[in-house]
Amino acid sequence: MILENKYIKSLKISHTYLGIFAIFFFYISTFFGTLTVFKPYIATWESPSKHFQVIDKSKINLDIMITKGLKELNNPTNNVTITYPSLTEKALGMRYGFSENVYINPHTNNVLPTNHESQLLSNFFNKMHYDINMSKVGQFLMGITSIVMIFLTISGIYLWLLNRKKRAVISNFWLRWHKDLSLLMLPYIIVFSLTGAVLGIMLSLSSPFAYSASNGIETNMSKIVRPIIFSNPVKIKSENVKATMLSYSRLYDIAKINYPILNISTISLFNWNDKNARIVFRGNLINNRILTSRTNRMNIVLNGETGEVVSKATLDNTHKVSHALSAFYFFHFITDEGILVRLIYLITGIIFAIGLVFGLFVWIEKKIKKENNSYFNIISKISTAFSIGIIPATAFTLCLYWLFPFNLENRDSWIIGGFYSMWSFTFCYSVYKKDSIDAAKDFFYLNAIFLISTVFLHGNTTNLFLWNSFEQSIWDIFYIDLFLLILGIGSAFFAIKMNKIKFLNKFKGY
Amino acid sequence: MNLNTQKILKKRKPHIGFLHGSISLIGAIILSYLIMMVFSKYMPGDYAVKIIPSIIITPILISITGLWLLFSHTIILSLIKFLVSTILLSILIKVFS
Repeated sequence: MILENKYIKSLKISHTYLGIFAIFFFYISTFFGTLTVFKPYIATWESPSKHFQVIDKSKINLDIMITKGLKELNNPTNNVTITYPSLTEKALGMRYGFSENVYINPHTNNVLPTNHESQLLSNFFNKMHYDINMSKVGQFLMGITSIVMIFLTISGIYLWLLNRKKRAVISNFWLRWHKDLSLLMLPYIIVFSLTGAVLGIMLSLSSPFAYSASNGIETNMSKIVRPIIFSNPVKIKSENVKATMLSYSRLYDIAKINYPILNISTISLFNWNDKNARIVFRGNLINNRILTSRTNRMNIVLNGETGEVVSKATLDNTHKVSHALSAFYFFHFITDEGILVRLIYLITGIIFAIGLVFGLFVWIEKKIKKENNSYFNIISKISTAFSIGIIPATAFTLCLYWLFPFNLENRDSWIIGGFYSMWSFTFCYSVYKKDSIDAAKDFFYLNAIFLISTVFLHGNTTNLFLWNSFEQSIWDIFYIDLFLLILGIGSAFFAIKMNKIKFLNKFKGY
Repeated sequence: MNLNTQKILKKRKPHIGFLHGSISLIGAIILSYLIMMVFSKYMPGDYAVKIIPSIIITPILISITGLWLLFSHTIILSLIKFLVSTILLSILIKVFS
């Protein structure tokens, strides 16, 4: 019995201290990951040249657009990748090898002036999500945090089961909600901690498995696994004999007839204008998006001259591990999903983040009771800046994005620097204010000012105010602006009402 | 081994200390890697079948082996669990090649 208690005590200590370490990193990752769920929409919103309606697919003129794009890229004939317009990328994108993308407006068939548009915000949020903008070190830290999250999940479930067995009633408010929210979010936690561990750390530390599997011959996992699961559908050389190609739209139609369930997202050209020309249409299957997500795209390869089907990748002739990986990554990236699934991810992300913070409050409350010294409890201040201070800091970044002119030198550094400065300020302010609840209140006011300003600055810079995007039916831009405006007003309203919300009195004195 | 060290290793404490925790942590990482290296070696199939499951399962295994090592009566018992498993797994990896 004594030993059992000892184990439980140790498990609780491990869960608490590893939890404190993991919460800070995983909270940041969850916060920015939730924003990254909307990456395609944010990328469009931050590119003024892409402020136009989503085109009806039947109106796309591939022949004119691809010819113009090829001309812009100096007419390459091999390794040309074309991104087909979709809900998440409204323009047709074209690149040659690793060149920069050239974008074409599908309404006007003109090349878009994207010179100063770097998709800074969406890329920055994504980087904060997977490596807290600290490159390899950050990615490694996130990987370790994800493994710790798996441990916390297993130990948390174990502790919960023990409590259930003992029929113990949890009276602590924070603990009860931390437990309930975490259990509710269990599938979400498992998906993100496991994929986070694999992407963050396991892929780069997989050499021992490659060494063991190859009996000591090879240590580079990628070298021996990639050719098996990511096979190249085109392995043919140019014949150096000129040939006339079928039109792109004709080839597209042939691909659709021969593979009707393929939802085409990219088109690749190989040995173009040659006797051995190949055109590859890639995409996910309409009836199986989970097994054909970004790591396991299906394809159909046509001869560019005759339109004859050269090969066709189906679920039956692709590797089973590719299917498993596709499903594994699907729930993390939700690449092909529409706004509804992304909104569900937003809600689950918020619930999970609240669950994490409540877990931290279990510990803070215990510490404060023990030491009776709330003012100098630095963890309490850091957690306020981390959990709430990050919100106005992010809103400030959006505001700066539209405030600074696009041709400003080192524009990216100014904006990202602004984010870190604001975030640091929130920490100083949390320490300055005796009561964290007062600091939080001011953060929500700041957030409201920044968000509402962002909407008007965006309108002013692009000449596309909320009412203009509504009139012109540019719905994605309209909804983002509307969402930011509602969030800003909601934030101000919440700040005004904060003192009257009984639930929040629990935070008093922290 | 002096008396003091023996005391630390064999003492049944009311709670698990820093040394015990550290052994569990490092031991869990090493053991999980060794277990999945054995899997990668003996799993029939191509390299994708041998390696990808190991990459995915190892993070889960680290938590499980960590708990197994943590739930030892004494530090010495935790060390024995770790060393014996390491030797056995190393034999499976190296000797039967």
